[in-house]
Amino acid sequence: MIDQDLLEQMQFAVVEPPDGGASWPSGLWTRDEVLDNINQRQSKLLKNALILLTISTPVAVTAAVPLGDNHTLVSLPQDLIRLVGAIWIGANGNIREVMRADTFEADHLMPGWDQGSTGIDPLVYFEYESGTLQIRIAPPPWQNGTLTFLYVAQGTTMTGDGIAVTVPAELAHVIKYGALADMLSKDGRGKDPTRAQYCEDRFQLGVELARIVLKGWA
Amino acid sequence: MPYQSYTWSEIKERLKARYEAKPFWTEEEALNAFNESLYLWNLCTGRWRERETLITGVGTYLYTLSANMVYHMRIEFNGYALSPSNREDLNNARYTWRTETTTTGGGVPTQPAVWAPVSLTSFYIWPADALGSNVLTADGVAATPVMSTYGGYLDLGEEHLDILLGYALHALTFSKGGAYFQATVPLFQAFMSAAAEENDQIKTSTIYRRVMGLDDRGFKRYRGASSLLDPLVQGVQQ
Repeated sequence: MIDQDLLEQMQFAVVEPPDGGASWPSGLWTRDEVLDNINQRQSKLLKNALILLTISTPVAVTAAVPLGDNHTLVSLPQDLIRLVGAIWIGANGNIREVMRADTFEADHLMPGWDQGSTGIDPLVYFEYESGTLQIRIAPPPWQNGTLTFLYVAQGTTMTGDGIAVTVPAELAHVIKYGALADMLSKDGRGKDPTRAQYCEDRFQLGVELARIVLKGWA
Repeated sequence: MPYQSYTWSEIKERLKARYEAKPFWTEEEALNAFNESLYLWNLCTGRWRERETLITGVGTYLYTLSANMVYHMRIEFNGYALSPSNREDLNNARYTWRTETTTTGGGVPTQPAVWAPVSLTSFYIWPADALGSNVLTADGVAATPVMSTYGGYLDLGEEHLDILLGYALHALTFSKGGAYFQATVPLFQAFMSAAAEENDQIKTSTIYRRVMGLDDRGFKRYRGASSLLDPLVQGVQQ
């Protein structure tokens, strides 16, 4: 499904003349607002349902000799909206998934982890105790290696010019209802709390269904 | 009732039988609404399925399905079904699983035994096939066959067509809003109830219970309990 089809369905829903989302003559919403709403809801669906994951290109990490911050701080992909996992591949061929933790755990379970290499491969990463779009790994790597990230990438930005919706067509209506929830919640003449709540429930239901789908069948 | 093939013309006539007087929607809106019901039905129940074959690569543990498959339900290796698992269980049970193949030895099986979904169209297998050129068969849900004004058929049971038409009516009344839209909410609930009968997992979802109006007083239904219990419980709580 393309963004123009989605926008036209939204125009039908709020009784605007259907033209693929090119114009919203009622004046209650602008084209840019609607586009922002559908892009934000697409990102929210992707982030919460984890239905489409991307594997990054490997990021080189040098051994911690000499030790310095640059050996434990690793940059994340620019289009990342949620990190799911990180896989360490050492120069000696060791492969393991680096688990999510925090500095409290590391400080108590690996005292002195930040003072030098412990001779073992990184075990954990900290996502929230580092800069934006960065993670810190612990303990510092004793050998060169790479980190490959499994993450949710931001969906293709819909511009209203025929861009394909990132999610499968079966979930496109979830984005539609999410965006309608935002539009009908806008303060002003277009505000309709009842339908806005219905649309928000439909969006949440869609996210839940996407999660159930990935779990498999009863 | 056995499956029948319906054309869009036949479906339109069936839809017309569900309302009186002049509709406030166009045929294009009706088509969009009915296709939305098909998408949601396929998402909830996996009604339309297909099979896809992949050839294993040497030491490869990550596989991707084609875009025609919306999501996967079952994986076989040379005709033997793999047990479903998940990435976290694999990491917790054997943190070196990515390096293990069918020739690793020790406690590692000599053929892939487990699969774990990564995303809608990709999955891991463990252990990886050391030799390659074997067959992985994925049974999954196919892309939804939607209706168009240009022809084509829809294979569906009569009992399900009625449910889908009800959903389409509900979706069409959204633009009118108010009491008119509220009056069609039972049609949507009937749709979700029918979908939940096909897929039990939906019933355990909190948001499903909220949409069905079953959580108004914070009462959480037990899994599989009949909805006839709800008025009884509400009476007790008062």
